[in-house]
Amino acid sequence: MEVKLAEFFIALAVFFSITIVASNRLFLGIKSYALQSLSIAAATTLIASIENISHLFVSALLMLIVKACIIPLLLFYVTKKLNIQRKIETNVTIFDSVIFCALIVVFSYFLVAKFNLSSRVLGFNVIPLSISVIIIGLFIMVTRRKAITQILGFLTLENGIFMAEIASTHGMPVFVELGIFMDVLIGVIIAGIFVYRMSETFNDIDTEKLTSFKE
Amino acid sequence: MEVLIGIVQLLLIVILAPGVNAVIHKTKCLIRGQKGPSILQPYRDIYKLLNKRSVISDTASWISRFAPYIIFSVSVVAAAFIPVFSSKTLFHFSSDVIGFTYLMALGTLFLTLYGLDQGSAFGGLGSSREVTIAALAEPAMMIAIFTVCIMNGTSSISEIFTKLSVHPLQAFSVSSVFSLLALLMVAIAESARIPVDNPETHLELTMVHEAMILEASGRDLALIELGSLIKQAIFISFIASAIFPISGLLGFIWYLLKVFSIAILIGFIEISNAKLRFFRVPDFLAVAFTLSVISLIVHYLEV
Repeated sequence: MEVKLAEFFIALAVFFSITIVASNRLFLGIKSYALQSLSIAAATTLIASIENISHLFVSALLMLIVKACIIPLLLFYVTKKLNIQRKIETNVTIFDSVIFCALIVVFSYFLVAKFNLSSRVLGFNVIPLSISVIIIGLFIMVTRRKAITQILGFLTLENGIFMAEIASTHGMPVFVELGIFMDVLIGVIIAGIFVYRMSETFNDIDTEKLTSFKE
Repeated sequence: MEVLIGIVQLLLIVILAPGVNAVIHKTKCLIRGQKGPSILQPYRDIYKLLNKRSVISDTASWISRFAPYIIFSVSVVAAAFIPVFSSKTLFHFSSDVIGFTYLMALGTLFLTLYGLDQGSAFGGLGSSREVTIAALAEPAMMIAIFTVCIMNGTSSISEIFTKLSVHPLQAFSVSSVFSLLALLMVAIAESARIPVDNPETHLELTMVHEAMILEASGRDLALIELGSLIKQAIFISFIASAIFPISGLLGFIWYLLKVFSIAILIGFIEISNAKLRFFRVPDFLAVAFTLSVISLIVHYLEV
């Protein structure tokens, strides 16, 4: 029952990563990311109570504070401060990329069938769903043109890795988890500063323009 | 006795339909910090309209005279398929999903014909938009409903209800989560709610549903509105029936609870999203389609 409920929350996380792909406005993407982190925090809490690992509760709490509150607020702040045009620009049309997400989910199911790790993992669906979150994150990073959306892609990817790690290792040592959270937070802050510098120098945060650098 | 239960369930959906809409509207008003109209307001509106004479344009043909009745009756017949607290609906002997979905499509067809028939520019505009949305929403709806059918091994809505009330945990499998999310999105699109159409305004640039019924008045308007409200209630009831259904009196209270929580959820979705540009609607429905395809394939792949 609790495993089913955990799977339900991870399915919600996949849904929210698809809404990040589908969002045409930055704020919608950031809100979706916050909701995705929230559902992963809920899933982590459930897994912690199933496996009876106390430090996973700490991870869930950190997930709630860092990824569902601080990072989205930081991204909102950067977006507002820089007066970035809130429209998301893509290399692939939104319609095509949403349809592609279905292929990604199916692909990750087939991928996991090759691994043959069902005996060690709780719930069959957890690993394929988290791998699809990882690949969707990669997909966002590759196809979106603005730096902020690429950060969103990176964060989605990181959420997927976190989920896969929780489900397959039954919780890593607590210092590793804390280190990962610090890494992500610092990474987002650095990326935010980078975006700020970029918009100061070029008046734009389109990463395509970085290719036209000449000495 | 079975017929009696069926009639009670049918009447329940018909009576509840304006109330569900009122709850959605009330939720939005409360979040905005407004007082909002009373829950009974849509009932009063429909009662008032039913007592008024309808005016039909000179260019209108027989379609305009018949369409309101067809739209209303088709919705009522489709409502007779939906189990509320017992699997003994009026059509429980053959409550087939394909018949059910195409009854809904028949209502849409006559609504669009009604819009075209009035000879006003807005009607044709609304009809063309409505057909576009319906054509895009249909694959997502069909695949999502078929997935629910395949999961339960039957295409009869009553039998799905029976099986689900025996194995309530089924509703928590990953594939049914995806298909229910897809159905929720289709329900929002089909009942002309915010990311797709705004039911509160008559802005000619954006209106879809309102443009088609702009010329309707009096009794005709009441019947068309009631038909659309019943359609919305049917979608919400279908989703509610697929989540932990219980039969019996307790099931009735549980049903009301589920329907009103879904209505409040829709209110939240409406208040926190802007209306999409019309050419962005395919993207919204693409998400629903993707979710339904994922749910279908995941059903076969998960153990």
